[in-house]
Amino acid sequence: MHGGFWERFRSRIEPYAGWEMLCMRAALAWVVFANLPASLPYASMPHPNGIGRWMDLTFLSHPGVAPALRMAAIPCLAAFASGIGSAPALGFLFAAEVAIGSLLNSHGAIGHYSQLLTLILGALFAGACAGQAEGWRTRRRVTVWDSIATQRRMIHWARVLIAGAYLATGITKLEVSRGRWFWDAPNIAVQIAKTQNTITATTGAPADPFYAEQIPRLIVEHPNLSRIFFSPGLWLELIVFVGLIGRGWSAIVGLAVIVLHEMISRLMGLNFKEHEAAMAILYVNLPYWLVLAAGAAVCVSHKAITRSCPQRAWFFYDADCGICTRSVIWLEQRLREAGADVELIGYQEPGASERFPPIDWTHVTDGVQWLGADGTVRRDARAVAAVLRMLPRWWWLGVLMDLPGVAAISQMEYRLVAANRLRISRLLGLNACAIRRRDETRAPTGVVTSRADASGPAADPTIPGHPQDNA
Amino acid sequence: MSDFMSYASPSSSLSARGDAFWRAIPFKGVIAVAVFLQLAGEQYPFSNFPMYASLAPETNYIYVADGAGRVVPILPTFGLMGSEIKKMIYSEEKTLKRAKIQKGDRGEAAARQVLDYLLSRVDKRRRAALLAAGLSICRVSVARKESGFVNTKEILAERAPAQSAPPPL
Repeated sequence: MHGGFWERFRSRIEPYAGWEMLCMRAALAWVVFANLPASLPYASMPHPNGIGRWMDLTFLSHPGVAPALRMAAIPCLAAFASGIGSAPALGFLFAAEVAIGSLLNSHGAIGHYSQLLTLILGALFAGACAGQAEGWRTRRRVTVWDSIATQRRMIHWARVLIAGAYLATGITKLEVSRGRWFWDAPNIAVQIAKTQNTITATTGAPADPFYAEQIPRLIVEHPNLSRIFFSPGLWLELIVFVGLIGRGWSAIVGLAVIVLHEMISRLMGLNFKEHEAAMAILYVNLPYWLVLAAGAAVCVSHKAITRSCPQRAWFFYDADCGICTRSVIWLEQRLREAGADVELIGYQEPGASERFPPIDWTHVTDGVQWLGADGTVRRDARAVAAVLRMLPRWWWLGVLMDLPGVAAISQMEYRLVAANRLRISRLLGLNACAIRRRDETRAPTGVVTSRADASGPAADPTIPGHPQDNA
Repeated sequence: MSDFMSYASPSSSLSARGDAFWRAIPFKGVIAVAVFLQLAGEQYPFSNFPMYASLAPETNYIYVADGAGRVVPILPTFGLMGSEIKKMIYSEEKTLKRAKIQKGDRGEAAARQVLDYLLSRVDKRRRAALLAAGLSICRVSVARKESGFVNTKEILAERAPAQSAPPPL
């Protein structure tokens, strides 16, 4: 069972990012709030259930109590969503949901709409308490913020609880039907007829003959097809835990359960919106997939852009300016990581003006310049944009800086900084001469920070605009 | 490590094996939750979720009708769902069973109590109007037969239309 193939089929705490869990908590908070009743018209408890067995909960039916609970829930839900003081906030919410649910189920009819959401709140509360207990054990202090580990544990426990609840549902079906549920599946026709007529009895609206008559008849006429069609529902309930293996499985299982509930909703008129919401939030995790899709689109765009970037380029800067040299050091590291063949050349390098005829050497005091292998020369903000396009993590900024409108703003900002670069360098205490060491040579991946001993114009005939090249 | 294992006592070896076995069980949390919910039964918020666990070829539904047999919509009139009325009658029957009430009398007695409960949920004027028109709880059994579906209706409890003023509840 250890290692290898089976190891990947084990439940694990998913390493969710902070923003993912923030989305999850905010969405769950909204679902909990939407589930809180505006009024509780149950003045008696003829058949006490849950904590109603030990305490009279009819005080909740007094006018004003339910709205007050909703109001009190708002700061608690905000605390939970933001991850500040989750444990007490979730404790209150869990207690409130248990009390409300117990009252609703204490008049002889047990509903199963809100149990799962209440249990999820319980699991989150237990996870938050466990995080606080661990913090106390290790650091001897209670923290206000939930750590990332605590947040992940809370979400994991909620996901485990959902899987356990669905497994219990499936087991109950097998147990009560003595294993005949699959075989008895065609009898679901009478249940559909019943629920459709119950909807009429509840609302007074006439039943839809398609659902109340045609579908049940179709099921009865084709029993084996019905078995094939309805059996996956039970199988799904039994294997929801597969969603704990990883994100992909989680999304597949989550979507399947949502489809199952939607079908039940259409056929039987039973709405389990809270269940669907819980699956969408904790299993499907749509924000993650959206960001992943956006990232994939960005990657594809980046590949297209880097393909369109020249294979070789030269970037010219003022080596007497501290802010420029510091930026070039930053740039050099990233260009090296990217394996980009960009030569970073200080204007002050001896012989540089002879090597690069296309470069405007009167522009030295004004700003940076970029020379592409195709002979394109870019200046100032457009030069910065060109070099940023060659960096895997910053290419998008380069593209953004080239957009119409943005380019003008970027240029204005650039000019402002360039005009004051020496003053800014002095204020920041930057060493203006850091990059001008004469012993620096070509970097391992081909990036050159400075090449004071470059061998003059004849050394590199590939430079565009070179006299030899022109000849 | 191998030295330690070779000199370990049988009990520590058993403990290590037990620990390894425990670690090897996948989805322990899921299994624990499922087992706990099965054992806890219907104690809010715990439940074994028995909805549609048994698919019998026959079932029934409840509706509320007035003296003329017209359907009285349960949700707008009493603020409850139709399925809740059925469950309430079932719960009342269980209570009556515990009180040693004869099986034949339980259904009607339970339905009458639920009918009274429904009337207690509406305001005085509405109650008078409902009683004036007459009110009954009806059960329709739906059975799957070879030929199709067979529906059988029965009145579980009723309040006949009032001739004059409605009786006090």
